[in-house]
Amino acid sequence: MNFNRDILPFIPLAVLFIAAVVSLRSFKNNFPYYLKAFSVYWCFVFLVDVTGHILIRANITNSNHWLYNTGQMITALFMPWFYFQVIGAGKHKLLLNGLLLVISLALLANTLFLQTLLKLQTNTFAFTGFIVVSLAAVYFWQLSRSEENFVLIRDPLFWINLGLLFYYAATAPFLGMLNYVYNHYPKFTGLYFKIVAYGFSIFLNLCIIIGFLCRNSHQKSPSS
Amino acid sequence: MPEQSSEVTIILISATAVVLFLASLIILSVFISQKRKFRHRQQMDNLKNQFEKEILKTQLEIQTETFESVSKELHDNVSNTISLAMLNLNLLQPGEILPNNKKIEEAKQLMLEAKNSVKDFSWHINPANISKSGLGKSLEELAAKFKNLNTIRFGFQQSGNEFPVIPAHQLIIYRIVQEAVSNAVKHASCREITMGLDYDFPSLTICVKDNGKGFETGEFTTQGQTQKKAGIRNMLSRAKMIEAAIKIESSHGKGTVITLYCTRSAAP
Repeated sequence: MNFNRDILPFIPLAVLFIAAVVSLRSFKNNFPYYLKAFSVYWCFVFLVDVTGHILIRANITNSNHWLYNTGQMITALFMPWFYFQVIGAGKHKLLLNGLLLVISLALLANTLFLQTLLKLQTNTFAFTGFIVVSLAAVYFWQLSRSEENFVLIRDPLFWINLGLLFYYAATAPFLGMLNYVYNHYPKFTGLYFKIVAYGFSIFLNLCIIIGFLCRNSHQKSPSS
Repeated sequence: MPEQSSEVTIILISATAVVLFLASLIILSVFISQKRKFRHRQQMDNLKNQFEKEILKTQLEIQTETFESVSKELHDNVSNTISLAMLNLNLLQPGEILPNNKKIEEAKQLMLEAKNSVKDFSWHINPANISKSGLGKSLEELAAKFKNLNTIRFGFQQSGNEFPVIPAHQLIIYRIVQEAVSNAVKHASCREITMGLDYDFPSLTICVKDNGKGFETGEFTTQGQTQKKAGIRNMLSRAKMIEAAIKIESSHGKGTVITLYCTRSAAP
């Protein structure tokens, strides 16, 4: 049994599984609707990842890129919606709908004209990373200006945003260039992927686990 | 191109490191601001507690003084009046118990006087009446109370349009003025004390002026004099509680003027 091939990829997957299961506590603990939506989204992320592994391991298909591309497109649409609710901008429905429409068109244009569904859509990864890092920064900026009295480390949103910020900050530059670096430097890419992508994926999922285990279940968004 | 010499990998690692560093800065700034907020909140709570303690202390002081004056009033006034009435009644002979008897009338008059004294006094000693009757009336009554000493001339002047004052502030202001007047009576060897109250919404200025021996204002700021001037120190700390300012003007032989400026005491 090869550790790098047969064990290592399953470690972040196992942590992702735990995070997806723990995130379902949002329904039991009556968390705000956007955190419930995040739980559903995180279960979807787990299903995409586990299906991606099965497709390759069981030799069902040669490439699982179409699956990850689809998952990433949904992420690119879900994240702006989620952050609009978190930072209290959900009431600007016109702005949100406009943004989602622009993103959808950009994703469609990318799939049709730039990177097909069968090729790993690194543009989408980079774009999602930019969106998440920017909106997470807005969330933390709001948090630092908020007058509300609460313990930061008991706030589920704090942990989720912390994980997302660091995960996307660390992986967006790399995943955005993945096709290029893989074609030119496959050895380095493999090593870097194992360290950075796996490492920060575990970190993100640990943050999500901690966040959904927090007792401060009814924390309002900092802007409210 | 050999992998080891790639600049792209270095750029990639550097870019990731920079983005991660910026993300860490964001989180660090959030924690610093949270810590600052927590400290600020703690300071506010401390100030609030201190204010409440001071209010309680002031109420206790007023209560203690009240007990003292109750004791004095009962002993010096009411008790004497009743004793006199009893003396008149004791002097009556068996055949003298008749209507319109001079001694009985005198005793009746004395008992009425004692009753009125008790009634008046019971109204004055209630600290709640400071809030009820308003600051102007309370200070006027304070002046009247000291006037009864007969040895010092008292004057009270009120100007401007009266407006309601926050009850807790009213109590503190009353206590500061009481302290200032007591100090003048006890230590200044003065012949005249004038109290002034000026309403200029939302500000309030209260002035206590005496023509006594005065003191050098620098005296109470030195370490050794701090204990001796505990009264002034109390006045200053109380003024701070209600965000008011105190100005003390005095010099040897030229009397003292204590002015209290309250800018945040108007009731909302």
